[in-house]
Amino acid sequence: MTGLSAAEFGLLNALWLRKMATRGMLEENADVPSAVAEPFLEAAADRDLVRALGDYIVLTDGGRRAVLDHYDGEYRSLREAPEFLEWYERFEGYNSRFLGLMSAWQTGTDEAQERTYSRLVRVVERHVDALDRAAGWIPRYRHYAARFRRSLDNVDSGRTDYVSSPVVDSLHNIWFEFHEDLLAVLGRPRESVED
Amino acid sequence: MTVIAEGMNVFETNKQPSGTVHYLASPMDVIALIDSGKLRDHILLVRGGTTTFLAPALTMGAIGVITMSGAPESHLGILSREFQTPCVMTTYLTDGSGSRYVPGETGDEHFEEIVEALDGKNVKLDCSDHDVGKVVVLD
Repeated sequence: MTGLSAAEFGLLNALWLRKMATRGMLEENADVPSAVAEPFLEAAADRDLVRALGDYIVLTDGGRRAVLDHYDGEYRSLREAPEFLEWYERFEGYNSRFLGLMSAWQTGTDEAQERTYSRLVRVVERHVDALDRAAGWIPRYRHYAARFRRSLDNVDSGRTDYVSSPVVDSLHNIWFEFHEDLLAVLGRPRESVED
Repeated sequence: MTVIAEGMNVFETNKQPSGTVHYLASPMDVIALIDSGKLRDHILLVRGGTTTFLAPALTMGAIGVITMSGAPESHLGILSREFQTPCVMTTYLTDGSGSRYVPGETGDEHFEEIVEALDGKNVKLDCSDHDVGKVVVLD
C-alpha cells in the first residue's frame, strides 16, 4: 500500500484521470473540501508527487506511480471477481455505443444532434444505473453517478457544452475519466493499452 | 511536396498545420514539451489512439496530431474535434514496408518504422478530405 488516505488518493487520482487541472477542478472532481485539499497538495508538491504547469497542476512520474500503486493495493482482489468482470464487459458495450454517439453528436446537423442526444442520454442513464451496482464494490463510484446527473441537468437547461466540451465537467469528460479509472482498477491502465 | 504517410482523418478542415514531427512516448515527454515553450512548433506523433496523456498538449494549444493506431471515434478523436486540432489516426507510411496496423496483431517494428520515418521531419497535415488525412513532407 502507498499510505495515501482516501482523500489524498481522491485528489491524486482526480489529477491522474484529468491529466492536468486547477486546484478548484480537483476539489470538485475528488469531492474533497479545500481545507483538506490545500495542505495535501502543498505537501504533495514538496514530496515531488505533483508540480505546477502554468495555471495548472500535473502529476510527476512519482505521483503517477503512487496512484497506480494505490489501485494495485486497493483493488487487486476485484481483478479476479467474476461478477465484477462481467459488469466490466457490459460497460465495454455501453462504452462503444457512447463513443460512437459522441462522435455522431460532434459531426451531426442540429436535427441529427437532437436524435443523437436522446440516444446518448439513454446510454448515460443506463450507465448511471449500472454504477449503483458497481458502487457495491467501489463506493466512490457513486460520485461519478452524481457528476453524470449534474451534467445531464446542465444540458437539459440548455448548456449543450456539457455534452462534449473538454473545459467543463461534460458527459464526455466524466465518461473518459471513468473509463480510465475502471481500467486502472482492473490493472490495465491506458498507458499500457494500445488503442 | 511528397505525401509521406496517410491515415484516417478525424475531421475535415482547411487548417494545414505545419511543424517538425515530435514523437511523444510518455506523459513526461508531453510535460517536457509544454515546459519548453515550443509546443506549437511541432506536429505531435503518438503511438495509441487512446493515448490520453496527450490531453494536456491539446489543452495547451497543440497544432496537429498523428497517431499510429486508434480510430476517430476514440477519446482522443473526440478531444481533437473539440479542440479543432487536426488529427490523422492509424497512420501508415506510403512508401515503407507496407506494414499496416491491425489491433492486437501489430509488433513494435511497425511503430518503430513510422517513428524513424517521421520523427524530426518538417511536415504539414492535409486534413481537407472527409476520410483520409495526409502527412506531407515540406523539405
